[in-house]
Amino acid sequence: MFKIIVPFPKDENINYYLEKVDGFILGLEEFSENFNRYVKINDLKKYCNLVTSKNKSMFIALNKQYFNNEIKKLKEILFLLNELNISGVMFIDLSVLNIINENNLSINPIWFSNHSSTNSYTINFLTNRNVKGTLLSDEITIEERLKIMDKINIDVFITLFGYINIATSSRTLLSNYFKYINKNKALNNNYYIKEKNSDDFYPIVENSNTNFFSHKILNGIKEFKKILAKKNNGYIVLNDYMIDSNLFYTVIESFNLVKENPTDNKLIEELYKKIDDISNNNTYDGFLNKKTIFRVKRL
Amino acid sequence: MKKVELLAPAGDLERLKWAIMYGADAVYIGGKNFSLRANAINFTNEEIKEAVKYAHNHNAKVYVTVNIIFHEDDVKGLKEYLVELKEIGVDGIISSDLFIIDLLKENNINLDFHLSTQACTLNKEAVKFYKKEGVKRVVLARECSKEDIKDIISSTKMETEIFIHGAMCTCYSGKCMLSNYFTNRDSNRGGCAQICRWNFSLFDENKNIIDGDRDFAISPKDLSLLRFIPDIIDIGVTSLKLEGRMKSIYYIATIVSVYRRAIDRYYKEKNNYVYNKNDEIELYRCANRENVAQYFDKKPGVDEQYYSEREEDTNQDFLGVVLSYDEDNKEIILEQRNFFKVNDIVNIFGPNKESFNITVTYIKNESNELVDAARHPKEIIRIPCYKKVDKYDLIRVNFFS
Repeated sequence: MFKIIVPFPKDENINYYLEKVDGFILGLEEFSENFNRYVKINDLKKYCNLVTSKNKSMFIALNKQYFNNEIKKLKEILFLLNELNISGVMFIDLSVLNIINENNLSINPIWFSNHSSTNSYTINFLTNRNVKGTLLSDEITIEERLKIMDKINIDVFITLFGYINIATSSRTLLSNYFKYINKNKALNNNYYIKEKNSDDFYPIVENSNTNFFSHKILNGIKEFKKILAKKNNGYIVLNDYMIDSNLFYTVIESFNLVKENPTDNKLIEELYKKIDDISNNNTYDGFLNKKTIFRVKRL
Repeated sequence: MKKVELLAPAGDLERLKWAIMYGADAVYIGGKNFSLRANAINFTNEEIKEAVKYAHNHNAKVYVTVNIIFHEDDVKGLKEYLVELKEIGVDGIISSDLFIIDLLKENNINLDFHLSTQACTLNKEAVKFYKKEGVKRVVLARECSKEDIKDIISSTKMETEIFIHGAMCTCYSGKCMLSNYFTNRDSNRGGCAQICRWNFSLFDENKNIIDGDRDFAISPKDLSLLRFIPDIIDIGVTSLKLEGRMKSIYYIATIVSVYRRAIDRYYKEKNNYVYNKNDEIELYRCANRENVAQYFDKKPGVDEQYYSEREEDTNQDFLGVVLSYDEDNKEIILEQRNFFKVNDIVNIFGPNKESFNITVTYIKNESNELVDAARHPKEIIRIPCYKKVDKYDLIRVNFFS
């Protein structure tokens, strides 16, 4: 069975989301990145209790690479999370898994590497090391993902909507550039890069790291039905980062409709088009139906 | 105290031999499959065998990169390949996809597993995880500072390898999909199109260009930790890695010999060790980008990158390779690589020797005719030299003042 989860919303929207989705991924101040909202550590318990009291899932995103000097506070937060009622912790950096395992913490570790989870062998390796769930890579096709799902037995997370984080630099690339050209960088984070011979604008966001995003919004609603047909348990991730709230409401409503009517191809087509229209034709299917290549010439 | 390892890149057998000849303790190479430089020449299994034989005969080690992030169908043939590497006698593999650890164990394939920098290992807790899994060595992320490296080594006692020289990635290694999204070429399977070297324009939220006249680039300057060799040795790093499996023999010979000298001098002179500025010039001249310390001593800022690809230089310092020395006529027989002319002062360097200058008082072509200049790449020519040189010495522009 697949559930729908979204990033933890602003307070004024919580009630709406509690009705419409099955759970949340919470962005935690200092420990997470690429969220519209970051919850302070002091507010964590309150929100975890609220969500779990409604029988919804609450995952905490520890989705950063951590430098050595951040390990102490990472340990502290994991010990704190161990006392809370949460569904799991999403990690990229294996330090998180090691701290959980070494200290026998009762936290479900979810491997949330959106680029590396490309085969069942590595997922099974991590399953044998206590990992309870995995995000499948955004850069493999839906057919590859379905094939992997046949060979693993932990919860599967698949992103089907949102801008895709495509690279992270620990350099302050925007600040550096503005210093270089002697201009002030605006406080807002909405910048884009464009290659000269292309019409594609790629969002670039600088916080503690600089993150790059796909030029279009992933819209995998057509592929949702294929996932629903599988026997695995898991979660469909719908991501609202940098997404207009009206569009996101439509997305949630649409994915819920598909979940209820997974064989209604006409409806799915209509919903796909509706989402694309509201986004001003700014959606695409990413790598869901396109394989990457890596050999460009034979030597 | 075990001496630090100098680890050089080798894109093919020829470059492997040059790297070892010029002083590398170990080399890393890629096979025809499973390696991140999918578009390099790389080594057949037969060539790996020859490479290992050559290296071991010269007391050097060979590590083989098996460092793609595997897609489900890529795994075919991997076990057989690892068995063959074991039988050939390679000294270890460099990988980042973790299932290979179990594949080795389950099939009793006794190969040392070195964790690739593609795993982006930045901290001691991650290193502890790998150590428990039997990983022999961790290649730390290039984003680690001196303090990070020092603490990781002292806390874990793990063998560590760090990059000390060469091109840098802009983004975290193994986590960069720019190539996939801009060109459909899979960076984690060896197809990286080096998007971080491209020129872009930057736009604001309304998609107005920020500075119409100037490019927006994210291209990092190269890494060089030559100045920090004593610190690196003192904090206990096991292996010092040079980047550049696709670079020329001239580049490899130059950087290997510079670092070889610096390392050996530090072990010999210790407290009396003095940094040699000329070494820095040599490194700078053989590359097309400036060298900086990047993350080692501080977080890189405005000065550690380029803002346009046009800022990179090209150089034509490499003039020729010594093929032999004619003792009777006191002439070097060389294969030309770049233009030089009569009366130029050129510099000659080679393994285990101080470099020296000569003035080219004449040039003879293959027909033994005097010519005013060496104009044709790969042409065999003769120039006078009263000091004996050896096969595989290299001739370059004299850039020392």
